This record gives sequence, C-alpha cells and structure tokens, in this order.
Amino acid sequence: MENGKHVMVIGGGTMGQGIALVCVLSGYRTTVVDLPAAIPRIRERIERFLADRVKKGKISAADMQGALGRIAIEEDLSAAASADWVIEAIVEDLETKKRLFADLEKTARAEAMLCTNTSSLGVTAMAAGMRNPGCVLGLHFFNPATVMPLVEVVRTCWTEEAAIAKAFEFVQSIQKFPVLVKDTPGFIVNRIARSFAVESLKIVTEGIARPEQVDRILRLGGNFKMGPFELMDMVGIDVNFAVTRSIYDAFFEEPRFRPQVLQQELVNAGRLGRKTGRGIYSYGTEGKK
Amino acid sequence: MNIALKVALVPGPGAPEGFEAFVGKEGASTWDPAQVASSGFLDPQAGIVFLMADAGAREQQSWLSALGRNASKKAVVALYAPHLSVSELAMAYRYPEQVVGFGFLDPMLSPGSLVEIAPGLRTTAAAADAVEGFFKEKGCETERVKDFSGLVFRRVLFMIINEAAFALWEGIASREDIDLAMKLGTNYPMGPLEWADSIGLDRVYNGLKGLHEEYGDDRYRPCPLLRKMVAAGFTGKRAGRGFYSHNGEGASR
Repeated sequence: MENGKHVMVIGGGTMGQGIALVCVLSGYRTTVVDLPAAIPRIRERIERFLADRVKKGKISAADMQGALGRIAIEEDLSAAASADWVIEAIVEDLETKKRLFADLEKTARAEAMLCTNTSSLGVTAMAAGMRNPGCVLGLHFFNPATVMPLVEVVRTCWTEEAAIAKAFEFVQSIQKFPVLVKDTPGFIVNRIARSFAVESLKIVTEGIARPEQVDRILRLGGNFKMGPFELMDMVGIDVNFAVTRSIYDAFFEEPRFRPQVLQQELVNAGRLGRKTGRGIYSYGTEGKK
Repeated sequence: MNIALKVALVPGPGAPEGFEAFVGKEGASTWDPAQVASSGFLDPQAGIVFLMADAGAREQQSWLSALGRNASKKAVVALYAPHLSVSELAMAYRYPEQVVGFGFLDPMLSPGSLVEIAPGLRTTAAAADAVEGFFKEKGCETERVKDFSGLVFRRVLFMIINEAAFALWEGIASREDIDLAMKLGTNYPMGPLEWADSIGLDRVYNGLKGLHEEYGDDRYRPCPLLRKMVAAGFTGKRAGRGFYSHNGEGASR
C-alpha cells in the first residue's frame, strides 16, 4: 500500500486531520505538524477515525495498522527535508502563512511542492517574495475532507504548467477530483455558492418567503440536497458570514457579493446555527428542528 | 375550487414544454397568441387562462392587455414566470384583481413538483385559491410567496448562473471545471452552466433583466457573456448550442 512518497500536513485542525487521513489512506507516508500541546488530541482523533472506519467495514484492521505505521505527528518542520508534498492548513492569517512559507523554502527539497489549503487568502500573496514561487499552489479541500470529493487546484501567475500537472496527478492519487482555477477571491465554489445563501437571505429579509418556504422550494423545486438555511445552520452562520464578508471585501465591494444585515444580526444574537442550538431554526437535543 | 372550470392555454414564446400535456386535453383550449393579440381572447367560458409566455416583461404586458379585451370578468389569469412584480404586470390586464403569478422550473411538471403561487396586491383571495387549487388537484406541492420578479427559485438559481457566467467570462476556470466544482464541492444537482443550457439562456437573461429593472441594483446586472450569447442565438439545448454544444445524441460538448 505504501507508495514511497511523503506528504507533510502543517496544522492538525479539522481540515489538516482530514487531509492527512485522505493521504495516509492512499498510501502516502504522512507527517502532521502542530504545536506540542495539540499532538495528543490529534493522535486520538486520527485513531478514532480509523477505528470507526474499521468498525463500519470500510477498511480492514490491517489497513488501519498500515495507516498508523505511515503517519507521524510531530512538532517541528524537520520533516520538510524529505517531503514531496507540503500542505499547510494553519490559521487563516496571511503574515503567519508567509512566514511559514519562507521557513519551508529553507528546509524543503527543491522539487517539493508547497501548497496551501487556504479558502479566503490569496495564494499569490503567499508566494510573493519567495525564491521559487513556481512550486507554490493552492490545494483547496472541502470539509469534511475525508468525504468531499473535490479539490480546487489554485494557480498563481507564477505556478508552472509542470507543477499543475503534478498537482492533478497527486489529487487523483488520493481519489479526489481536481479542478483548475486562477487565484481569485473564493475560487470557484465559495464564490458561486454565495448567491445560494445571500440571495435567499435577501428574499427572507424582504418578506417574500419564510426560511422554511425557501428551503422547501429549493429542495423540491430545484433538487438541491439541502435548502440554503438548513445548510447555513449546519456550516455556522458566523462562518458563512465571514466568508461572505471576505469575498465582498476582496472584490472591492462588488454588489453581487454584498452581505445581508440579517447575517450580522444573527451573529450578534449568538444564533450561530446547530452548534449553538439555534440559528435560522431552533434545534433540540437531537439536533433536529 | 371547482376543477371542472374550463382551462385555456395561451402559450407564448418560451412557454415550458409539456405544460399542455400536464394540464390535460380534456376541457382545455389552446389559443395562438397571435390570434389573441389580433382579436382579444375568444373563450369567455374559461375559468383559468394560463398565460405561458416566458419572455421579457414588456411582452408579458402586451399579452395581458390583448387578453383583457374580450375576457370575462370571472376568468382568472395565471401568469407564468412574472419578470416584473405581479402587482405591476396585472395593471396591463382589464381586471387586475383576477391575475395570479406562478412559477416552476421543471422541464415538465409532474405530481410532487413544487409550484410557487404569487398573488399581487390587488389579487382577490378567490383568484389565488383557484390557481393554487388547480395545481394541488394535479398532485403538485405549492408555496404561497409574495409577488416579486422571479419569485424564489428562479431568482436564486439565476443569480447562481449569473455568477458562474461571470466566472467563465473572467476566465478563472473552464466551463467543465465550474460545473464539476459546484456538483462535487457543494452538492448541486447540476452544474450552473449546464443548468442554464437546459433552461435556456434567454430565459435566464430575461429573468435577470427583470430583477435588475425592479431593483435598480447592480447586484442583478446580467453578465455581458449571457447577453452576447443570447444575441448570437446560443441559447442552450433547444438551440443546439449554449455554454456547451448539443449537436448529436445529447452529447454535452
């Protein structure tokens, strides 16, 4: 199963863990890097995920042992010296990411690919100032990374064609579907999906229909798996609002991306969705409305 | 509502395919819009007149005005896919209180499809109930919404398609990648560009133009690419070419 290649995932949060699991289950030797205090919890989460997969019959016990043998969780960046792929999934802060890329460039091998899983920052801004920005690109996974089949491959003005070809091969090797997109705010999915959420919020604000009506119309009339309000409550009203704001700002206040006051109000009220028991809808202990 | 009421259809340009079959031939009379325009509506017995044009707002207003010339005061006019608010369009008809907007986007309605029902400000409750009752008897689900350009589904979907068109126009990704990304990244049932091809780019463009006109907000301005393609006749599947080319056995590109 081991394919001889080495992936390094920096940042062991939800996205980092998911990406690491996808890679290790596809045969990559995988190193997750995070702060010492976070390591025990990351190990526990990864073990629990794999055990759950075994219990559900998705992988064998031997697969789990193999995966555990290929994964390491470390606190420093020394693994970069042997990594073929480095994917960062740390905090969404440009300066922090730029510092990380500058450090990585010192230790990583010349042929290593340096990737960011950012969803809201410019990949170009991260690559700027590096000695070899040609090997930097975005690999944008979707949450949960172990389930969602799409990866947006984000190119900057420096990304080389060979690097894009390598990225497509890599994404396919971890059983995901790559699409290619220029480094622009929200890439493809987060940009186009704005309308689904924000136009629905506007419709409710204007009293044209109630949230449950909008959800029903889009599910039954449009065959969407979830209505926009059910989806917003699941993702988090605050998360959705932050993405909307960031894309609106990044497009210099283009009116198509203008956020809605209702989003701000819900956030002010602490009605953040399922995680707080109430967002657009109210949720009982079962998590249902 | 008394379903035995006679139904009449006026299928103008852009009328959804299959609606005639859905209504059922029995008791329904179909009128050529040119005939209506020249001599007014000629079936005073009709209980509900479905005006099925999916064209621009101005065209819809001219149909309504022609329809009103000989119409009975009791007939209810069900207006498909209003591009302006029903309240405003209804004023072109002789009896505005009898006009009800409605919308759906299935290529063909079937039991279980959802239909939005939108009465205007002057519309009587009886008229709205008649149209809603008609669809319920046919096994459709309904939602009563406030009347406004595009109602709910079209408005949301057309905004998604418009953004996908802008993304393509700006060259950030290929049409195939845009469609694939929306299906796999956020579970859309169809990619927005292939969806536009199946609906018809002219309908999408007219819908967006209606919203833009109603709000006067640049949020709703149609992507120049849509306008260009509609002008060139690349309106989607029915034309053989839209964002994809549809020549041959349903080949998608």
